[in-house]
Amino acid sequence: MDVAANVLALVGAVFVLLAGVGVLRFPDVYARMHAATKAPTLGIALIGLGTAGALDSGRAPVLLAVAFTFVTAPCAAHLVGRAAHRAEGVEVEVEAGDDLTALVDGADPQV
Amino acid sequence: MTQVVRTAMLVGIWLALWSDLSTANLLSGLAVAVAVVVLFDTWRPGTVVVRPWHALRFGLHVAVRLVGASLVVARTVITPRDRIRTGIVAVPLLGCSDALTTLVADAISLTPGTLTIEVRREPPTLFVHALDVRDVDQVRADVRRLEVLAVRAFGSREALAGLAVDDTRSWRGA
Amino acid sequence: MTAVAAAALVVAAACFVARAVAGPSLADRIVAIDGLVVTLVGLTLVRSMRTGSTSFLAVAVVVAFIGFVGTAAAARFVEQRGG
Repeated sequence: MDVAANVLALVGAVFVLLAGVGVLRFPDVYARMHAATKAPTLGIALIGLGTAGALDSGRAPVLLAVAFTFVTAPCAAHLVGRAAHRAEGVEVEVEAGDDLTALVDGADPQV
Repeated sequence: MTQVVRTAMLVGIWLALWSDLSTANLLSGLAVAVAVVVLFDTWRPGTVVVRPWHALRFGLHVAVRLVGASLVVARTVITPRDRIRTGIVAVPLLGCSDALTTLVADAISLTPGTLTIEVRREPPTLFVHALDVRDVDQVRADVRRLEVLAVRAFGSREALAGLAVDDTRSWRGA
Repeated sequence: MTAVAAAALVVAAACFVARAVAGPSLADRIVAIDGLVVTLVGLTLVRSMRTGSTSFLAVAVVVAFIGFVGTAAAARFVEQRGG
């Protein structure tokens, strides 16, 4: 049981680490957000499962922290993404079309 | 009904923070939760029905996709590849209430290669940043599958009926 | 093994800090600091695993929540003032 909990925590930490490297190395803000949203959410979930398994009491706050992360991580990414798209001065590269700019500029997106 | 559910959720969070199920904690949590729900009565989720079996399927689907997404991030970090074509795709949601739109938008951000950037309510439309839009229909089909699972799990009866009528033609342009 | 996990999280935190320093835009910095907060939550959990003490678990919950509120506020700032 303890070994399983330790392995879960280790795998979770590795996912957070990969997200960190991704945020450092990916080329633009949206790609960095992809890295910073998905992998850490899974990482925190795994670490939380490991912690909840290893502890004898006080599992509830751990599960609460994991649940918060699941709800807030995509929401935070959405807020930052929207702000980055609307704000002046943020380099946003989209090669294959941008329906949102089309909508903001008044054209009808292809929906 | 929504207010009862909200109060119960807040009491649950309160008890989890204290991590102690005593009468005093229960009563004080109840007092705080009722105060919050009465003072900030702004939540209008629309009709939400919970179907446990389909909710489980939705949760499992998101969990599996989240693992996939993390592995994709891991692979991209370890073996950097040429930039694929990124883009922002408008995806109409067919007959989702506010609460369902929120749920789908959140779930999309946890699936591989897609990230919600902007939401419009009228008509319900998500603007999704995709890492690979060589095939726009593929992105829309991904979102569509999540939406169908979400409506089956939590949608009202009307939304379910709309699911049977609406098909993919509205965005295939046929 | 939890020591390795903690070390991995510390390296992750260093990566996020480097991105927060490098920028270039304010949105990049917000993304990096959001990741830093999540790493902090992970470190708190790993710490309570290593020591078996539950006294810091509430900190993990509060940091997770305050981190989100901070990110939301910063995103509003970028939206209105540019980044």
